[in-house]
Amino acid sequence: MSERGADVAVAGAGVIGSAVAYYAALRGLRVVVFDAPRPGQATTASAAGLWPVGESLGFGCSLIFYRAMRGAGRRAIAGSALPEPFLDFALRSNAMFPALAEELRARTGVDIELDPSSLVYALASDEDERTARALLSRPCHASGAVERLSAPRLRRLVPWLSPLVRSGLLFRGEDQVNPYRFAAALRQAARALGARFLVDEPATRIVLARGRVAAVESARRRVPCGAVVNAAGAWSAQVGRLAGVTLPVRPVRGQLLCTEPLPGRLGPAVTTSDVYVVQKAHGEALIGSTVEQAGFDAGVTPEAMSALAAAAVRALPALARVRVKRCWAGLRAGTPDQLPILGAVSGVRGYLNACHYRKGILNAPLTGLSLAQVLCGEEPEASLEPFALARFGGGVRPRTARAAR
Amino acid sequence: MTAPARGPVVVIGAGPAGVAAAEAAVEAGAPCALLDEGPPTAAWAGLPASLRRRVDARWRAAALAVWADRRVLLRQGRRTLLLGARGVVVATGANDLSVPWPGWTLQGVLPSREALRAPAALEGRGLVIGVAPFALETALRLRRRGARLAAVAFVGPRPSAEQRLFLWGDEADAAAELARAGVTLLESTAMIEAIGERGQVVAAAVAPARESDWMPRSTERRLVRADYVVCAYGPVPEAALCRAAGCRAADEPASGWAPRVDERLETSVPGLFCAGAAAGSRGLGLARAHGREAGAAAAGRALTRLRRLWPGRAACDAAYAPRPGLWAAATPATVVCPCEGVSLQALRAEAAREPGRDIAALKLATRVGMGECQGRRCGPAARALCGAWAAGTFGARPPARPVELGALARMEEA
Repeated sequence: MSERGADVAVAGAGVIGSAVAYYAALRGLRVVVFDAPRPGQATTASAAGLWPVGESLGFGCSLIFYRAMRGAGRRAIAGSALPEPFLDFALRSNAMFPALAEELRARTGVDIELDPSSLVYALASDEDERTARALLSRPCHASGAVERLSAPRLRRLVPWLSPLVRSGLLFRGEDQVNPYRFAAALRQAARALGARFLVDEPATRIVLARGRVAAVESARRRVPCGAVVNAAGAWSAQVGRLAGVTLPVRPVRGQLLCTEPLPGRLGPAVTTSDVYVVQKAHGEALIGSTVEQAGFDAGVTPEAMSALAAAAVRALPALARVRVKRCWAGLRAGTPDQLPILGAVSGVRGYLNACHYRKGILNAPLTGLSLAQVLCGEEPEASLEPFALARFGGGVRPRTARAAR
Repeated sequence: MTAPARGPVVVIGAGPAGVAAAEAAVEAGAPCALLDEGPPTAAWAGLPASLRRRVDARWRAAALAVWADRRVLLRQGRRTLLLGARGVVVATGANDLSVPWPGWTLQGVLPSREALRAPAALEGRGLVIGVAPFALETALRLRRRGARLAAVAFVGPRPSAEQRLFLWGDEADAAAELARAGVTLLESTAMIEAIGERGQVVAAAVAPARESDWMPRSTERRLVRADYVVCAYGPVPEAALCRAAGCRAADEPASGWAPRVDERLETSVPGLFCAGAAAGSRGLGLARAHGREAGAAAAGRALTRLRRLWPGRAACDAAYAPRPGLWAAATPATVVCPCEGVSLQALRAEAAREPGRDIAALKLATRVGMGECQGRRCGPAARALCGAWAAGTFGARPPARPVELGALARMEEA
C-alpha cells in the first residue's frame, strides 16, 4: 500500500533516531520513523552517564573496553583514547543538554532527569597509574577539565571507596540523564511537531531510483521519500544492506546490574579499570558493563554477573550488602575503530548514516541537529567528515552505483 | 533427547509438583537436588523416608536464575552456587492474583498465601474476599486454624464436589462447613473498597456483582466490619525463572505469564521443564501428575504419556478465570504498583501521551513494576487495567529474587 510521502524516513526510534526526527521536524520536514522493538536495544539498556571528557580521553567505558579486548587477545587501539574530533563532537553535544532538557520539558512535560554530576576514576594499582599517565600525556584541550585527587580528598568526595584506592582523577561536568525518558521526550516532541512513528514496523526495503532514495517500505506500507536515515543501532548493518551500503557494524553486548536504592548518595559516578558504578535519580545504582561479541544474543551470563559484582565490591566495599534487583544486556553498534559512522555515503544519494557505538545518548543532540541540517541542505553544525563511512576504504560498494550507470 | 547424563536433576520448589518430580527423578535412577526457599514443606513430609534419603534436599535455598544450558544459580545460606544440571524442573507454584481497589494497600489487607503462612491465627474478625473456590478454600483453612471470620464474599459459582476434588484434592464442602461455623457467605459479592483508620483496615464496603462478568453494582454497597481482609482471587504462575531463561509463552495464560509446555512438561528450552501451578495448571492432583511426568522426563526417562486430563478441567478453569468486573472497583487514585507508588491515573496519563506502546514502555516511563517485587504483585493488574492501551506483560530478568552484590561476587561453581 502506498501512502502519503515524507521528506525523510528514519529507521530506528532509539535515542539517535528520535533526535534526528525531532530536529528534522523542528525544521519543518515531514518525518516518518520505522521501528521494531527488539531485546537489547541500547537506548533503553544504557546507563547513560554522559561523560564526554572521561570517555574521550579513554577512561570509563573506553578503558573497560580496552582491557576486555586485550584480555581477549585482540588488538585494541593503543591507549584506547578517541581522537580529537570525537572529543570535540562529544563536548559540543554535551553542552547542548541543559537547554535541550528545558526545551523538551516545555514541549512535552517530560523531565529527562539531567543530573549535574562528575566522574571519578579510581586508581588502585601501578598499572592504573601508568594507564592514567599515558592517557593524560596526550595533548588535548580538555585535559584542563581533569583534576588529580589525593587519597584524602578522594575519600571525602566518595566516602564509600575502598581503602585500597590510592588516588583518583576527577572529571568535572560529567552529567547523566535517564536514557528512556530522554528518548521518549524526543519522540513525543517530534510527534507533536508532526513526525509519525510506526511502532512495531521495521523498515524492510529501501527503494532506490537512479542512485537515489525513492521510498522506504515496511510489511504494511510504502512511504515515498527522498531521504533515509539509518539509526538502527546494532542492527545498522542490516538496514544499510537494504540500500546496498555495507556497514562494518556488529553488535557488542554490554551487561549491566541494577541494584535496589542505595542507603545514601554515592556522590560522583565511579569508574575503575574494570567497572563503573552510577547512581540514578531514584537512588538505584547501575553497574556496568561487559564488552562482548555474542551476536544478537541479549541475554545475561552468570560469569558477567559475578565479575561485575566482584569489581564493584572491590572498588566500593560498602556495596557488598546492597541487593541486585535485575540484570540485563544491551547491544551496542560496534564499529572497528569505536567511532561513530555518520553522514552521507557516495553512490546512494539521500542515504545518511547515524550510527553511534558507545556514546549515543551523549551524542544524540548534536547528531540529530547536524543530520537535520544536512537533510535541509544546510552546512551541518558539526563536521561529519571525520566520521564518514568512507574512512573504512574499499569495503563499501553500493549496488546502486552500478545500477545507476 | 538433548539432556546429557551429567549433574543431578535440579527441582526448584518443594510443593506438591516439585516433590513429585524429585520422587520420579530418583525412581528413574537420577541423582536429584530439590531446592526450596523456605523450610521443609508438608509435601516433603509426605514422601516416604526411603525416598527422602535419596534426594539432596536443600532448604532456604533460593533459585536466582536458570540458563538454557541448564545451569542453575542459587543462593544457599551464605553461598552462591552455580549448579550444572542434566535437567531442571521449575515447580515454583503460584502467587496470589492482586486486585487493586481503594484501600487494598492498608495494613491488615493481605493475600491468601501470606495469611495461610502466618504462624498464628490473625487477631480479630476477618473477611475473606475473592473468587469462589479460592476464597472458600482459604476461609476453610483459616477457620480450621482457629481464625474468627465475619464473612466470606466471593464471585463465581460454588465449586461442585468434583471441582473441589480436582482443585483441593479434598471433597470437603467448605461452604457448608463455614456456614455451620457461623461464617456469613456472601455469594456474588465483590469488593468496592476497604476503609481504614490510621492506615489500618476497619471495614470493607462490598456490593452485589453480576454473575456474567462480575461487575459490581456499587450503588448497593454494604459495610462489613473487619479487622483484616484476606484476598483470594486465584493463582498467578510464578514463572520468572522460565521467562528469564527465554521460554516461549503459553498461548492463553489465564492470568499473567506461563511457559508453553509439551506433553512431557518440557518448555521451549530443551531440558527445562515446568510443572504444576508455575505452568499455569490448577489443582492438586494435576500438580502431582505433572510433577511426576516432568521429574521422570528430566531424568531422561519418559514415563507414561499423561493420562487423559479430567474432562471438566477446561470448564473449571474458565469458570474461575478473572473477568472484567474484577478490575472495576479501581478508581483513578488507586495505586496499582505499591512498590513504586504508581496510580491508575498516572498509568493512563502516560499511556495517553504516546499511544501504541506496550506495557514494557509504560514500565520504563512510570516505573510500574520496577520495585522490590519486580512486578509480581502489580503485573496482572497492570495488564488488565492498561490492556486497552498497552499490550503485553512485564518481562522478567534475573535474578528471580534480589541478591546481595557481595553474594554474587562470591559465586562458586558446584
